[in-house]
Amino acid sequence: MIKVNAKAFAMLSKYIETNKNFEILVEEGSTLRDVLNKLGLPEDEIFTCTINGENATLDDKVKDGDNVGFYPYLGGG
Amino acid sequence: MLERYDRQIAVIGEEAQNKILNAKILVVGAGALGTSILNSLVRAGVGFIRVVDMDVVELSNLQRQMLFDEKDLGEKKVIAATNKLKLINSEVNLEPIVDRITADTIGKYALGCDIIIDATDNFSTREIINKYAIENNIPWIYGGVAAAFGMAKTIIPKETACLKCFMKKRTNEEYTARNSGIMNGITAVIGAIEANMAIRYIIGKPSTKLIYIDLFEDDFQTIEVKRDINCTVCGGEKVD
Repeated sequence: MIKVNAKAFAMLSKYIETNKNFEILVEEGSTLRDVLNKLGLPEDEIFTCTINGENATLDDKVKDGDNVGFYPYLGGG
Repeated sequence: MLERYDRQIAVIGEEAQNKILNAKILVVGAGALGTSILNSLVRAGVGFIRVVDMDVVELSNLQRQMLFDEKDLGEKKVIAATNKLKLINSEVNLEPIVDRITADTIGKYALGCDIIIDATDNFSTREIINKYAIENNIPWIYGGVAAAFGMAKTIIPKETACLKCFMKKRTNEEYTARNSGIMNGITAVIGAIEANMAIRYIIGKPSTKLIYIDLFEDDFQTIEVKRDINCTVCGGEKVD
């Protein structure tokens, strides 16, 4: 297992009852989508996601110690 | 004439100020983001600003839409906004347009503009702006807000990622002032950031990152955004 630091930003925090950084354990070779699913975040609410401060796809693999983030669609103006 | 901009010129120089004075900008929307953007652009001395919106001023707008007051209730937003902006800086050429941006109308309103600034309240219109801007090689600034959260990004065709490069498959699950509420701090800040991004592009110092702000958690993130070589809007050419 590897450990990643995950954060669900803005409204996505409602799905995990916190938007603070927290650690999550996933299998080695896991993708961002695996992290997303483990967190219980709905994929259709993900505007963009990041690994270590760079945008990434849900198919990108995560490594031990990575910081990952998920952002919702902020549509208002 | 330049005395008005003394403090700004002290930062960017007279040559950059002249670029601002000669700039032509399309602002799409005259709501909370739009009024913040227009306030900044007009005070900075942008030469020509076209603003497109078809809504009227409502009481619930006054909490955050900074160019309107109670006298403006029922007035078209672009008319009320430009009336106020002329009092702020009569040197700016303002063109209010009462209409909606669609795939059919964006061409005539973007015509002759150096940059487009997004102050819309939905991703459908942003996708129209993105596609038009990429196809016609016009930079644009994305901005979106809801509750106490906001994002902004400068998009330069074929140089930076476009909206489609970093936006996942879109659904109707978007957060807006209508379904999530909105704090006036975030609209003022994101609008000012969008205007600043436009100014930076005009003077040749463009912003490159996606900015995210959470005013309730004191959280400010800058995200490096790569182009997607397979992007259906801008892909197929050079990748950063």
